[in-house]
Amino acid sequence: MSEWFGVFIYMNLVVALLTYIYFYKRRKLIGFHLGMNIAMVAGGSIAIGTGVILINQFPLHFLEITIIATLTGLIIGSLFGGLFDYQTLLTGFINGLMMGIMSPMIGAAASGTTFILFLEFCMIGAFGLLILSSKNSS
Amino acid sequence: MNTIVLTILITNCLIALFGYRVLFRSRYLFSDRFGFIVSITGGNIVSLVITNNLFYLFSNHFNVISFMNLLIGVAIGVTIGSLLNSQTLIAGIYSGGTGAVMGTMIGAVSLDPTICSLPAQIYNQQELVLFFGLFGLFLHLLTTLLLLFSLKV
Repeated sequence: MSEWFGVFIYMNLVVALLTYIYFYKRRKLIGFHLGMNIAMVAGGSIAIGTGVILINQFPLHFLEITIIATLTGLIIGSLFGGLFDYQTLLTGFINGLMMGIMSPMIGAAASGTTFILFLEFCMIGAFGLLILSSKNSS
Repeated sequence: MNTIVLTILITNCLIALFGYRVLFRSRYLFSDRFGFIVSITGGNIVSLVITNNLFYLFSNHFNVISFMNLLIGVAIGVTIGSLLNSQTLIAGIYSGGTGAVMGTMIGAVSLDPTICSLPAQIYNQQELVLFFGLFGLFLHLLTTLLLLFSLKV
C-alpha cells in the first residue's frame, strides 16, 4: 500500500487545479472575506499534504522535502490569494509558509496508512466546502 | 558555530527593526483590514526566525529557553500588533505565540532528529543548523519585501 502514496500528490494537485479554474471564472462575485478564507485553506492544506506524503516516501531526505513543501505551500497560497487582492495574497503566502515548514515534522512523527487516508479525506472535504460556500454566498 | 548563529540573529533583528520603522511611520494610513494582515504576517515570521536562532544559542537550558521563547514571541506580537487598535493587538498576540512555539519545535527537531523518529545519522548537526538559519533568513527577507511592497500597491 505504501508505495502508492505518490498518487495522492497528483490527486491533490488535480483537485487544486480544478478548484482554481472554478474560482477563476467567478472571482468577481466573491468578497474579500471569503477570499481570505479560500487562500488560507488552499495553501495550508496543499502544503500539509505534500510534506506528509513525501516524508513517508523518502524518509532520508529531510532538508529537500522541507524546501519542496515550503515552496509548494507558498506558491499555491499566493496563486489562490492573487485571484482577489494583494492583501489576500499576503495571507495565503504566510499561511502556506508556516504550514509547509511544519509539515515534514508532522509526517515524520505520525506516519501510517490510516493517518494519510484521514488527511486526504479532510483535504478533499475542505475543498468541497470551499466550492459549496462560494455557491451559497453569491 | 556560535558566531555564525549570532551573526544571523543580529541580521534578522536589523531587518525586523527596519521593517517596523517603515511601518511605524505610515501607521496612520492603515485601514482596519490591512492592520490585521500586517499583524498576522509580521508576528508570525519575526517570532519564528528569532526564537529559532535563540534556541540554537541556549540549547543546553531547555526548560528556561522554551519558556522565555514564548514570552519573547508574545512581546513581539504585542509590539507589532499595537500599531492600530485592540483588534490587531489580539491577532498579534495569537500569531506571535504560534510562531514562537513553532520556532522552538524546529530548533529542537534540528538539534536532535530522533524525537521525530527520523534516522539519526542522515545529516550531521551543523548542516541542519546552518540550513535552518539561512533558510529562515531568506524567508524573512522575502516576507519583509512583500510586506513593504504592499504600501505602494
